[in-house]
Amino acid sequence: MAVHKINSLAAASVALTTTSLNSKAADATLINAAAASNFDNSVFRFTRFKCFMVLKIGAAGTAFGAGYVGLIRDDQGTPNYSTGNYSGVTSAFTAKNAQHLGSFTNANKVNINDLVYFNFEIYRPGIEFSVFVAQSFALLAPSGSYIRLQGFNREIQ
Amino acid sequence: MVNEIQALFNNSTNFTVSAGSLAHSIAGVGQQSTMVDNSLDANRGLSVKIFAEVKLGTNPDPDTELSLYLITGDQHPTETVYRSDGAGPTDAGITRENGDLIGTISTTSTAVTGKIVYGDWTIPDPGVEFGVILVNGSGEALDSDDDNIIIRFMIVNPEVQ
Repeated sequence: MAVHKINSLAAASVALTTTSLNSKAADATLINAAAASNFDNSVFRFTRFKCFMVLKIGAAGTAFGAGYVGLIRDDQGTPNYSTGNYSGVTSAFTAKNAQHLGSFTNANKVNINDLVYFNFEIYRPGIEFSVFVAQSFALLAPSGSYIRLQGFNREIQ
Repeated sequence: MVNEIQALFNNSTNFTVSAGSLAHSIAGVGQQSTMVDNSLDANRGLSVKIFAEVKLGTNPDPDTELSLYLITGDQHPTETVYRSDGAGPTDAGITRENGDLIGTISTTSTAVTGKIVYGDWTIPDPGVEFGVILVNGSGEALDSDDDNIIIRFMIVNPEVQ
């Protein structure tokens, strides 16, 4: 009988809607975050995502500041559950009791138009979700920041 | 009928990375490899074994570390491709800032000129493309010959019998 290799199946990388990142102020408390619009995972039902984030600095900032990203879950239920009662549409988000996804630093990226890169993974996010970002190092630029998602499943050949 | 799922090992392959004479750095200044395309049907690996064999330079400091970091990329079809720490597609110098740590290699307490040190690790779910950054914290530059700084990868998939 033939053997069947199991491959990684990757979707195309897509950008979330993240207008809340535009001109987002630094926040030393790391509580006042900016969240992306929700991603509906009910169609492709990915079990894992790689996430690729770039933050573009909009004003001179502080070196080696901190930032982190967290997960917002949504059950698509009625009434609806979402982490922190998030609306699902890109906006400010108060980060409390959400799952931590990863921490990053801007290192020496402190000048206008500098880009800070950070990638992280989400395992088994469920039927709908979003991510939020809090950072302490700089005002972000009016445009040029993004968060992309790339969904993964396994595929029997 | 039952079907065992075994590991399917690809060949061990060298990364392209020119790390001969790589200078000592405590600020993350290192050398990146050329990216490996894991989207090819022959690959599409669900995990990757990494094997590093590094020849130290002259009078390295004992009990210091070399560090290996992961670069991952998204192969975005129309926009600028994302790569960790703004890495490029090919073998080049780079400063690591947020790239994930794969692992460290100790120079050990018996570090001497020309000592060869070894490290091996597994990367789960490497994504559609991957590479590595080597940062040398040994206190001195590495051996000058690129061929003596060997970093290999082996793509692994499950296979249904």
